[in-house]
Amino acid sequence: MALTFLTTGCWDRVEINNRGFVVGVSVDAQPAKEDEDKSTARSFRICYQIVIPGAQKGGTEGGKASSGYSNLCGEAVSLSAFNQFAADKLSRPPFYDHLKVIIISDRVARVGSGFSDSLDFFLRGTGLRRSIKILVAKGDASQALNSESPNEKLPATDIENISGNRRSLEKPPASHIGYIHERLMNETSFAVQQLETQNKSILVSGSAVFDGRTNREAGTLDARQTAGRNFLLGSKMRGFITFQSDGIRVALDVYEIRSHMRANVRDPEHIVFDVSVHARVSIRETTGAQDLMNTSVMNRIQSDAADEIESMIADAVDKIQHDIRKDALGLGDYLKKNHYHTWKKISNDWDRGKYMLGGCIVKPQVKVSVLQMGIVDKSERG
Amino acid sequence: MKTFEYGDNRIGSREVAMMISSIMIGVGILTLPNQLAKHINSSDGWISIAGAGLIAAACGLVICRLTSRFQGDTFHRYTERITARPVAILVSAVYGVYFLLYLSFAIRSIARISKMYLFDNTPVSFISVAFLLVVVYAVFGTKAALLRLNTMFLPIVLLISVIVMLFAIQLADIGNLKPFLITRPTELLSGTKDATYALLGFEILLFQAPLLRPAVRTEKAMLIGVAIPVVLYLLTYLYSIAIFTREGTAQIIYPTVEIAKEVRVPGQFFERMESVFFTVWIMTIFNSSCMAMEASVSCWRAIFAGLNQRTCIWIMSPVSFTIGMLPQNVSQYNKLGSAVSYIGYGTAAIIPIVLLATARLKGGSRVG
Repeated sequence: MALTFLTTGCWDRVEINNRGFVVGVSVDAQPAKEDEDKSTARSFRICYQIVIPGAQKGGTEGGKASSGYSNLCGEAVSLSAFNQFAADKLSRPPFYDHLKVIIISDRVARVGSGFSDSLDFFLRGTGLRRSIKILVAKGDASQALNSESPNEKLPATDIENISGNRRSLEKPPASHIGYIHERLMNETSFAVQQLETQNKSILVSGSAVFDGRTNREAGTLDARQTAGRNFLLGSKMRGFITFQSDGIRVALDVYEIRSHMRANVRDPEHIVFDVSVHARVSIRETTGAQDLMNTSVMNRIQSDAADEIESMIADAVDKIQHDIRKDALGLGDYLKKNHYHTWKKISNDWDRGKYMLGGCIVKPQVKVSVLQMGIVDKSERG
Repeated sequence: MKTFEYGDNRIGSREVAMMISSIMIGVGILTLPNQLAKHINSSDGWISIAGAGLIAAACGLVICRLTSRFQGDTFHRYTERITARPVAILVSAVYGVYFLLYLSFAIRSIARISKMYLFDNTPVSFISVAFLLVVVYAVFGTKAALLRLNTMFLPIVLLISVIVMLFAIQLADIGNLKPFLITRPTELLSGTKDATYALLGFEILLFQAPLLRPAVRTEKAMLIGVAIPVVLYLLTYLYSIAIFTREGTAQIIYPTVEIAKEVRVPGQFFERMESVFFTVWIMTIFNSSCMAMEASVSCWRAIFAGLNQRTCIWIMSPVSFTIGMLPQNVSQYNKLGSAVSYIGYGTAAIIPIVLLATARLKGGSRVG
């Protein structure tokens, strides 16, 4: 007995030096080979971004310009298989507790159940957070992990920060793995941030819409439609909108969006959603010399802004209703929460079956209040 | 092992309330939201928890009546007085076995969950042994010392739970609780069954009653003791629905741990709140295990009059360890859990009610 205590140390002790911190993961589709049978398990091309702790510090001392990370890429039929491969390949076995982002190529997301399959490994892991951010890459996902950033040493950190900031209306709020898990369980459709890599630089903009039932990407919303969706849902995002008002170009900084939805379910075939959106903005940029102190000018700007936002929302609704045909606007979710009895009757025919989503009408009512106009009144003389 | 003698070996109503809360808050709190979410739509599970709380409170009051009727007497002795000697031996044996199984289940659970979240390589059996040895060490002391340990640990546990919940407010989305009241009564009832599993343990008072100071009102203490876990469970349940949605909660096996994982308290050290959470949670399981073992010991000693406390512990610990290690897979482990719960219904509700009723009918044997 005494011997057991003397001879055993801490079973699970792993020196920090022996951990390979994985901070980013990308999942790409493997180009299909001709002789491959389509029905058998398709394999992924997976990349891990692994931190090299020493190099990160050493980089500042001049000397060799080391990147601070290394990317390990390979093919595997599953994430677990790749984990195995990584353990064979690296002296420091992968350690996922600090994983920040998972980037999935739209080629994986659009076919089969590749999207949910590749997340399963990360949902089951115990050290992993449910707040890992998920992005869908246009095209090749692994390129994002090779991107260069002037600010951050690690591309994964870069992506995470961009994905997490709320300073743009043109992307949906960061989609966490937990959020996606819940949607997949709810079978509600949802939107995920979209990422694009060009010339080693990444851009997070627009959203990929997923069908919560098949777990497949059903389509994409462009930047403007994504902004419309953000207005409709009252997302806690802020950013700029630019539009023409009476011949001048005005840019507004949107501080805060509040939206309130009300539905009229008397006719289940044509449910009417009244959405009142209230945006608080400040004027950030104008062309021409307008007297912003003038009430009529201000009213005009406010009503033009409201029209612009309404058209953005209409754009998003139109795209969702007629092109993507999957309810990523939270309309079904709203009905479920507030009109449960109606929802029970129609839930099977909402964004499938009889497709009642197509028949519903979304009426946005936008109110814009300009709270500030910057610290100068005019910047040009007319 | 040296034991420390307190000048005063008696307990008051505060200790009773804390003792009851401590043994009730156990493994159940980690899985309860998940089990409720599996059966119950939306956030209606609160009705089940509240219902289970009322049942537990009612059974608790029966136990209070029983103990105050036979104040200062041990459970075994008044059972013998109410019924007959063989029956009393049988009843004590049931309690002895029940608390032994309870202990086995607790050590297996703690080892399982610790292995899952903390120790990847350490064998389950080793974690169990380590935990069991600490429990054994605590039970070697006096009863009063154990109860005082409760009064020391419980406030810490509640404090950490409150901190976790305060910082979880930002994660919670009240909208996820909607729609209200859409679950059928039969489903609510099955939820109540799940919730009562998590609320077993208050029958411990039967065995600690002789330690009570004279003229302590146990009823109020019992109600407070039951209310604390019920409120804690309610909050935990509503939080996990608000954070993970009903469908998400139904798939997350330990939603409570996940809440603690998601919570980010400002400041680097506390970013990983689950480590603190695990510490306090192990403390509560430790408390319940100690009290269960201690109760079991007192049952066996009542049956075998000459049995030394230490001998009894030395016999019990390998037995409970072996039982704890018997389940070979998850489903067998769950079976052990439900076996414990079913016996728990008997020990927490049926036996005390029958005893009290018999005592009432006999009437004449009323003491003090």
